[in-house]
Order: sequence, then structure tokens, then C-alpha cells
Amino acid sequence: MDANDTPESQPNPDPSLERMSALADGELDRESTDFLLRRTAGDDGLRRRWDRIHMVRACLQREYPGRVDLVGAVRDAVASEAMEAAPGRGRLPALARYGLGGAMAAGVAALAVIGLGHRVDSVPEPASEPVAGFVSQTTALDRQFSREAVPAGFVAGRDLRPAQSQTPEYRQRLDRYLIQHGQATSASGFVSFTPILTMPRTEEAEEPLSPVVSDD
Amino acid sequence: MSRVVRMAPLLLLALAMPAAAERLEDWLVRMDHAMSSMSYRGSLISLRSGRIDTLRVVHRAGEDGIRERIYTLDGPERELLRNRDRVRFVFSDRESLVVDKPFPSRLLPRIPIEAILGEESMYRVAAGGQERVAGRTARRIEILPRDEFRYGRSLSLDVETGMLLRSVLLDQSGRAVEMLSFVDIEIDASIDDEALRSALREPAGEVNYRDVEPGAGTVPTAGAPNWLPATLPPGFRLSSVGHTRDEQGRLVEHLLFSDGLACVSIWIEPAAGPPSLPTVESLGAVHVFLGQSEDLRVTVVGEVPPETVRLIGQRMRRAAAVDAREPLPEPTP
Repeated sequence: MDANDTPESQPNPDPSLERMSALADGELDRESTDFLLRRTAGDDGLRRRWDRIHMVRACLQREYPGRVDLVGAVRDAVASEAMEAAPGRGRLPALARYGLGGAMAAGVAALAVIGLGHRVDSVPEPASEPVAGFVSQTTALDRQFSREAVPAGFVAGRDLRPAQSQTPEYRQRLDRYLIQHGQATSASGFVSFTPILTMPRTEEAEEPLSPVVSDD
Repeated sequence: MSRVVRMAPLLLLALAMPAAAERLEDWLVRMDHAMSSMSYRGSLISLRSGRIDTLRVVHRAGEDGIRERIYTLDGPERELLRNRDRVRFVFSDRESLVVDKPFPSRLLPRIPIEAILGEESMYRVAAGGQERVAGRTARRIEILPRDEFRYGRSLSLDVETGMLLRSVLLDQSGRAVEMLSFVDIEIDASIDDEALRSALREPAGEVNYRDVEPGAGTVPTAGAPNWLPATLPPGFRLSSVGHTRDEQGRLVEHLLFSDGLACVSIWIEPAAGPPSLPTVESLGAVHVFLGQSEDLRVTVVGEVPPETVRLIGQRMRRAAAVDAREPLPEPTP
């Protein structure tokens, strides 16, 4: 038996990676979570690992919204490897390289698809829309990196109103702000105060007029 | 000689351009003066969001400062009474709301002419034609926005006095968003105290926002801001900062941003409940952004398009430390 095969000589798994995996599974204690957050915040490599962990998890949970093109990805990787080969080493003709890459990619893709339990779906992707980096359930670590994301409430066309918008307290606060805004801008009274006077209020909603039915 | 003749139109144009600008400036100055120094009363209509409202305005400018009464002529009874900086909003049979100007804001001119006519202005100003408004001859001034983050205005000014007779809010394409127009007006009217008194029955109660309590540690202070929006539309600058305390004694910060014509207020205060999704409410052309994170509640108010209040309110940062950003709020799962 080769000495290199002994358990002692195998490379130790990266403890950070293990902790990340534990965090993604919700199994990391608070102290270790805090430590990992601090460390990952300043380490691009760890952040990329976190991305990958989540992408895999998202794929497994059928949450990844992006295009999963393993064939294309492996083909590109093979092409890239070949292009970077040292001079003097034999190169395959471009067509053969393309075909070999495709064959390898197809094999890997087949294994991957089987391994993922047939969870890779073909998701149409808008040409210009960016793909979200984190799509599975958020954790404390996610929030550290998703601060640039546009809040979910700002989706165009959605009318999201908090429940308190219908309360008298909320309306009173809004009235106060509108009046204070008019005072602060020193704008002409009737121009800035008309919206306050004419604002529709649910508590003052009048009964709708009943349609008049005429026999004529 | 022939060269002089050829150049004459250009010379005339060059001479005419500053003159035209001066005339526009004169009109805006006259309007500013008329609205702050004249007494008037009249009826006006408001057209916005597909609804028409009719209001009555009584405005007196005297030695005791500005006193004003604006009340609705249709729909539910509401009145707004202004006595200098004190504004009282009265409903029939309901609690009235009193707001004493709590923030020592630096006063903005009503129409800051330099900002509108300057080279870096976010607006294009043009003189329009003459028209009749409320039975009077008016001159139209067009102030058009250069981008989508602000509205422009078409102002119809009384030729005789400079009084604003009609104000139409315009979007970037020149389409009317909202209109406020007198249908009758008496300028330089003699207005007695009785005309400025509310005609509504005594309200059920009164909620008073007179925050100024000298000696109680609640006097508003102006100074450097603690918070600033991380993103601002072009042309908007900080005009004033005010600090006060709410009913629970917690610090409330008010920021006023202006591009010379449009103004946006921001209130930053401690959160008063669980985080909620940010929303933008529309009150005609006035838009209100409401956002609440775990720590902060941010409210942005302005007569600007919804994109503007959303852009300003969705992310605040500490003024002292640029990197300490506080997104508002986190999306709730």
C-alpha cells in the first residue's frame, strides 16, 4: 500500500469550509458563527466558497434561478485549459478539442444530473437580468453580503402596504410630516397644503351612490 | 458695412437673450413678492389622480405675519389654519392636529431663482404665452425638468400683480401630473379676523406637536446631520438639518434636500415596531417613502416622482462614517 494512501497523510479538510457547511446547515454555534462572519467578511476566497456552497444547496433544493449549463461550462473549461498549455506540448486540433470537451462535458453532465437526482431544470433566463447570488434560505452570513441587494418591497408594480398604513396613528403621523414638510420648505401655503386637505382617507370613505334604475 | 449687416441678427440675438432671462427672473421675483406680501382670497380647484377638489383660500399678510385659512368646499369638511409657523389641521368631529414648526430650518426662498436659471440647473426655463385664468390676464412661465427625478411646473402669473393664479405640475415629457388653479380671486383683499376663524364645530380633541419646550432639553437644534442618504438624484443638495425629540424623548432628525425647486424631507427616527417592507405611497404628486429596519424608521416626503423618494430613502448611511451603511430594511423572509 502506498504510504500516501494512509489516513494520516491525507490532506486535512479546510476547517473554514467545514464550518461554512455547518453554518449552511444551521448547525454552527453562535460563537463560531461570529468568528466565521468576521473572517469571511475580509476574505474574498471564503466568500466565493460560500457562494458555491449556496449555489449547490440551491440546485439541490431547486431554488437556483440561473441557467445550469454543465456541458457548456465543462467545454469552456477544457478549451481554456488547452489554450493555456505550455508550448511544445502537443495540441489537439480545435475541432477535436471541441468534440473531446463536449464528450467529457456530456459525461460529467450526465453524472451530475444523476447525482442531483434529476433536479436540474431548464430555466429560461432573461438576457439582461443579473442572477441572484444567494437564493436559498438566508442566514446571518448571507445578510453580510446581500446588503447591496434591492429590498424585496421595491419590485415594480407591487403594491405592498404595511398593515399600519390604515391606522389613525399612521395617518396622523403622515399628516404631521406633510405639514412639517410644507413648513420647512416655506412654500406657498395653498400649494403645499392642498394635498393634505384633499388626501383620501379610509375612515371618511363615503357610501357609494346606488345606481338609479329607471323604467324609462 | 455688409459684414456689419450680416452680423446684426447675431448681435440682436445676443442682446435679446440676457434680456429674456431678466424678464423671466423679474416674473419669478414678482411672484415671490406677491405671494409673501399680498392678502387675497379666492376659490381654487385641484385636479390630481383623476379627482377634482374645490377649496377656498383666505390669505392675509400683515404686521402679525402670515395668517391663512384653507378649507374644502366639497367632500368631507376639513380646514387648515395657519398662523405664522403654527398650522392647525381641523376635521369635523375629530381630533385636530396642531403642528408648531419644530425644526429651525433655514428658509428656502419660495422660488430660488439662481438655482433655476443657473448653468447647473436641473431645469429648463422658458417664457410661455398669455392666457386668462380666473378672469385675469396671466403670463405663463414654463420650468421643465431635465431628468425623470423631478417634476417641472407651468406657472401662470397675474400680469398686474405677479400673483400665482395657476400651477401645473409637469413630468419630464411635459405632461400635466397635477393642476391647482384659481377660478376666482380677489387680490389685495381686506380680510378680518372672522374670515380666518374655523367654521367647523369644536373638534373632539387636539393632538399638539409643539415640540419646543425651552429648558426641558427638547429644543430643536440645527447642526451636522447624523445620517445621510447613500444615493441622491443629481442636483439635490442638503438645505437644512433639524433635530428634535419625539413624544418618548427619542432623537428625531429632519433633513431637507432641494434642487432649487423640488424639495424632499427625510425623517430618521428610532424604529417603532418590527421591520417592515419599504413602501411608497402616492398622494397625488406627493410621494412618501416609508421604511423600517430593526433600528431605524425612515420617512421621505416630497412632491417628486416615486423613483426619487425610493432612491433617497432605501439606503441611509451614517454621516460620520461613509462605510457604515444601514440598509433599510432587510427583506423579511
